[in-house]
Amino acid sequence: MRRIALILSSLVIVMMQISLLPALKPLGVVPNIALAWVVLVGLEGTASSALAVAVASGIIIDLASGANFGLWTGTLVLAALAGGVVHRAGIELTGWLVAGVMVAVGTLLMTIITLGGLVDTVGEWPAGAMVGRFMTELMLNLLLTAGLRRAARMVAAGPRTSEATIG
Amino acid sequence: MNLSRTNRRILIVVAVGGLLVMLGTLGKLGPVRWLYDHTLVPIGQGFNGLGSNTSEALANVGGVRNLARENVRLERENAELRKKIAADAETRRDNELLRKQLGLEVAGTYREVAAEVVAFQPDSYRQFVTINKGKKAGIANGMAVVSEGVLIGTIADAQASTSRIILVTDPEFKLTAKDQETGATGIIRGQLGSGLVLDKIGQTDEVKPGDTVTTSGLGGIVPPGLLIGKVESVNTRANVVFQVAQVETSLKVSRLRFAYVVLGL
Repeated sequence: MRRIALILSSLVIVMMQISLLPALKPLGVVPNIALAWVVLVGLEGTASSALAVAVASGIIIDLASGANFGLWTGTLVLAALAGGVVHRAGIELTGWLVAGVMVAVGTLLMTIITLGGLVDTVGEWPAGAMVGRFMTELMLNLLLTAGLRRAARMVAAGPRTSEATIG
Repeated sequence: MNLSRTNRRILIVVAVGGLLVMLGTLGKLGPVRWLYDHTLVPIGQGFNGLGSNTSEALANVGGVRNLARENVRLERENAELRKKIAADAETRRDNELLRKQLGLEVAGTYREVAAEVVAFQPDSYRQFVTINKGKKAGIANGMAVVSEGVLIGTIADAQASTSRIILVTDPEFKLTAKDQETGATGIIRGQLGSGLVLDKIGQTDEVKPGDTVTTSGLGGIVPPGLLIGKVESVNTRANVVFQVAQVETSLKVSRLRFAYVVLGL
């Protein structure tokens, strides 16, 4: 039952990422709800379920995206693997800080990779506008992370000891 | 290496993910794409509709104060356009008569295929949309796409049942264009952040604010005369080879519901 709930909720999250949020564009940016969800599933649940969600969500979003294929899958898989490493390291997970830091690093990584792909094309870089856009997206991503935490706990919570390790 | 069951599972998932990405990069994800086109794309249409309607409602609430001013501006523009249409109708009649007299074929109108926007670019920096028509409807890469009478982009990736459009405001969008009033040509390209520029305009060519920018037809796939936007400002400096003009487009990505792919004559 929980597995079905995780699949359905992940599907809704993906549809929001490729249809609803880009159409709404709150404050002029598209928040990365998929990243927040994968990070939370990885922290609240198991590494393998987070990885499965990351791969499936990433492939769907890559099919909808016009950027380099694999950008979303790669970033979401890295986020899921990072969750497993955090479990293994025995870091306290009940607070909000760990999820926030992971989402912040993931947001920065995706921005660098996306803009890095445009280095040969763009002549003038509106640095101020890009920084503003990044900070706005980061703020919205962190708000989404806080808002989705309970939902992730409900659908993804599983055994944290033997399932959580990598390596 | 003695791997636990969990780590084996993790390795398998990562390997499957890597394989799918490799196949996707090589364009060999046909069955997965078919599944995506026939299951998730229709669901995406519903989400897109909800998003566009909400965005429009919020914009209307925010724009109430400017309604009266906007109304006056639009009435003035409407009157000018009606005059233009009447003059264009005369020109068209003369053109058809002259073509008949010279034994040339009468110029036709472009064939278009209507499609619905089903997905948007899921990040804040690139500008792509996906429509629910593809190669089966006669769409091919490079074809022009219009909406509400304005060029919104070209087909970047046509699949069997869906196509991805690179919008004019994407930083990698480039197309030859011309100033309809003066005939000056240049390259229209998207700017990172938003907006359009008409670049590579010759120093001796004249471009003024308010001029209409259209496609030039060079290259063959995108027909000439498709409206792109209006010149907002021109940057002319003596120590550079080309002029650059800022171009305003009426494209509002969040409100895009329908698009029309120009197939040709």
